[in-house]
Amino acid sequence: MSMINVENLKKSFGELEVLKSINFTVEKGEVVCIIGPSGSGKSTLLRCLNQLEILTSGKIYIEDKLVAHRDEQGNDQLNLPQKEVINLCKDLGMVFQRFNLFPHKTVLGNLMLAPMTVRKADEAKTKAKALELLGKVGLADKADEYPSRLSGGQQQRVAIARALCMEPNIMLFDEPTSALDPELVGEVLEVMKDLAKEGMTMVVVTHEMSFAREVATRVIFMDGGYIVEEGTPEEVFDNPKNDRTKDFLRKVKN
Amino acid sequence: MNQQQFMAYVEGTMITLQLTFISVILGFILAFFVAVMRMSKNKILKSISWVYVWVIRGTPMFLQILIAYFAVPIIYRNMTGQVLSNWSAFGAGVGALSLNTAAYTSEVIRSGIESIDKGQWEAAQALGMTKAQAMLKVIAPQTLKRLIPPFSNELTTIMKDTSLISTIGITELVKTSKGFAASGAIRFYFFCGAVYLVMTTLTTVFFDKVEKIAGKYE
Ligand SMILES: Nc1ncnc2c1ncn2[C@@H]1O[C@H](COP(=O)(O)OP(=O)(O)O)[C@@H](O)[C@H]1O
Ligand SMILES: [Mg+2]
Repeated sequence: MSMINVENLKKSFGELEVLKSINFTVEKGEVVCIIGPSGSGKSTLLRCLNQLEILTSGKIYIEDKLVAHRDEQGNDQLNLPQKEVINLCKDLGMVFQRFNLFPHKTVLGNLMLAPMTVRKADEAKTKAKALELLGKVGLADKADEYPSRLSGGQQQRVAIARALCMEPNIMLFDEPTSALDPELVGEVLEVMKDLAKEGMTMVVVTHEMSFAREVATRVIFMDGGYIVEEGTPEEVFDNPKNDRTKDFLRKVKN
Repeated sequence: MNQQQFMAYVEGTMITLQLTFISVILGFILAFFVAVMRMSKNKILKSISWVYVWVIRGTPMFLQILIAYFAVPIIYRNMTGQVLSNWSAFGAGVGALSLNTAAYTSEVIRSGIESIDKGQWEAAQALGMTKAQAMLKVIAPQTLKRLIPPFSNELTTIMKDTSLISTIGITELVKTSKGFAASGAIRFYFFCGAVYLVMTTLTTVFFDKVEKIAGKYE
């Protein structure tokens, strides 16, 4: 069973074609890092996976279940009700560049809101689970703080714990450290490394090349709405085949 | 001021407060629906709420009160052939004030909801919430806090505007004062003003406190 399978995915915003035929698969336990210049469609790809954007055409399978399917003309072949789409995507967790914590909830409240609302989960059990996750990201002592009192790095760790509290099988990260001051990047990457070690399936859009090299099982280079090159970190970073990949890697090194 | 006049003031104040609170509560509830219609994808619902807000905000409230009291029963009779019984000045006044508040407040609610960062919707959705759940648990609580100052503002505005209803025969604060002042006792005008000031100030202070409490997380 593959965790994610994307076939011939296209996405346009009006006239602007952002994703032009994307095909890729993610297997269980893989950590796939997506790199590429800004505007190449990396965020859009992640957002299509969990239906924050509606694809224009193509197919998306999550854990072998077809969750989105539109033909070349853009007609929805599934016509699923909102509830069903949500149910099919419940194994995907997402972490955003700008954290998007709920400012009116405490840290603990942020973690507990979705399980209690969506799953109608037991309060005591959810709380225990949330506290355990906060411990895991090193923020057990911040449970009763409001997000605005936390540093960016702490907020992003809360956001990771919040996503994990829904017990996803796959975690999507969209430039999770790009909004952070340099000295706070490390603590977030540490949490992500731990998650990878535990065998979580992860798709990470990132500019942290050393993280990608160390943690990724596979690196995907995107440019202009295409997957231009993919392979192991060694293949992509040390022996890039495509000129655009070489060009990009040269630029990020400087 | 003798005891009889004092009692008349108590009565007038009660009428003003009743008009205010009934209109504001009905108006805010209606405002919520108008705002939701305005933001819906349905073109017809959208247009209805747009026209409604356009008409109400673009015409004087005084005229709306006159239409509610004098014109509505006649229109009703012409359309149905029956006489609209029990059409009271109080009811017409509350109706006009509610519709008026709803139009202004719906725009406040809409811009409040739209001022919430799009990332909040996305985070809620990515966590598996439906649109309705996101609205209820994430967007509305944050919007509500931002709405406290404009709500408070609208409440004091309506409180003062209830005086227009005296023109269709309701003896609220202003009309009570006018009656007593008719014989040249102009102090009653100033007393009336003082009562309004107390009410509007208390309202403002109260909602400032509410806002502080609601805003503790920022
Ligand atoms: N909601 C949107 N509406 C219109 N254009 C968009 C929207 N989202 C993204 N785009 C455009 O799509 C292109 C790819 O964006 P994005 O996926 O964010 O790239 P990346 O994450 O690789 O920087 C950009 O040109 C961007 O302006
Ligand atoms: Mg991006």
